[in-house]
Amino acid sequence: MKKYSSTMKASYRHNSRKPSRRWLGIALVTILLGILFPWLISKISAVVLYPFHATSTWIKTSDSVLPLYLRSKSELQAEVERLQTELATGAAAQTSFSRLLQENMQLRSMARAGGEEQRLVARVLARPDYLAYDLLQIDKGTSDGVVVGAPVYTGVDSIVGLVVHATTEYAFVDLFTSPGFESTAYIFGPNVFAPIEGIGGGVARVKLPQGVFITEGQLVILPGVSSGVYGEIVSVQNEPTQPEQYGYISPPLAMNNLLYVSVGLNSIESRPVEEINETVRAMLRDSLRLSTTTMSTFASSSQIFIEEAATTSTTTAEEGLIQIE
Amino acid sequence: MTIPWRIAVLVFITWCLVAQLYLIAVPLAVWYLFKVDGHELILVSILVDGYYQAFYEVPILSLATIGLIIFFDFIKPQLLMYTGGNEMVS
Repeated sequence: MKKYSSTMKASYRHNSRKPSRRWLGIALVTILLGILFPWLISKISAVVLYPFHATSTWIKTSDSVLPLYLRSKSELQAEVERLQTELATGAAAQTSFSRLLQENMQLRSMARAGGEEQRLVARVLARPDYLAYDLLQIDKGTSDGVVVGAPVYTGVDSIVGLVVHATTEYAFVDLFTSPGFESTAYIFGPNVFAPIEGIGGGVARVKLPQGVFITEGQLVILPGVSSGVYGEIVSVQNEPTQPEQYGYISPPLAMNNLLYVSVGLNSIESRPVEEINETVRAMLRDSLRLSTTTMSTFASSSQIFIEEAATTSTTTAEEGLIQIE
Repeated sequence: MTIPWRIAVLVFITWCLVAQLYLIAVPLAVWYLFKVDGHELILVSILVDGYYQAFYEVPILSLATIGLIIFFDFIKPQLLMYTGGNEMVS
């Protein structure tokens, strides 16, 4: 019965409510006093909690074994977290740095590639994925010095095409693999000149008679363009019954890999034979014209020439007599 | 929970509050309030507020402790269960 009464819910409530109210009253009064006299309760707290403060300070600052162990463990954990954060940040920064370095080296090599020939570097805006195949769009136009007919290079000396249309802000480059393109190529190995024609799909071909040894990997250049390496032969089509053989050529870099190209500032577009003849004749006329020579200087030059000839003939006769003697 | 254990837990809670290890002190205090009445926590919280000179502004820790004690005083009878022998367990 006694146990029942002490464990019943009603009796529990009866016993627990009164002390709670008493504690609550004391606590509120103490808080009120603390608010009224904060300096007093601060001093009392400082005195009472001094052992706790001292222990905490000891653990945080002491060089004893236990605090050092506890502190080193927590410090090591914090260090590990900090290093992990730094590593993640550093990896991202390293990626950016590598990308910028690579881009910088690429741009530098392309800007210096031309040697005497002036070039400018352009970013490729659109590739054959988005344009008709064998056409590139670059972000430099006539305002930057791009002219129609200018050669376009990838890397140092790999020429890929010519500018066929230029606006002030951008330009289109027609690749040498475009159908209809014709030029003369020089093939290293057999060391022969051969006609090259674009056949589309990123491929051009050279046509050679049977008997000329061509094989895969031979380098093909366009002699019409200084430092104009076009690519290498990737496939050979040779049927003995046919009078000719074909070597198929593709550029060394896939079009999807093109990010920057360098553009020559001078056009290499072919000119008509008549225009070339006229230009050469004009240059010859200019070089042979006696524009600064007058008749008097011509006469005096003739007199000097005659006197020198007479002197020379006299000297020659005297030398002949000496030899006879 | 015996008296020595209560004192030990109370001392540890106080030390955690002084050392600013709140992530340990708060769950421990909640557990302590659930197991026992825990009115002595008010004294501890008043002292800690005084230690941090919170009485110059608002003694937030003391007021929060009083609120927690009232809350647990209200909620604990709702969580009591009676066994077949009419024993009360929580």
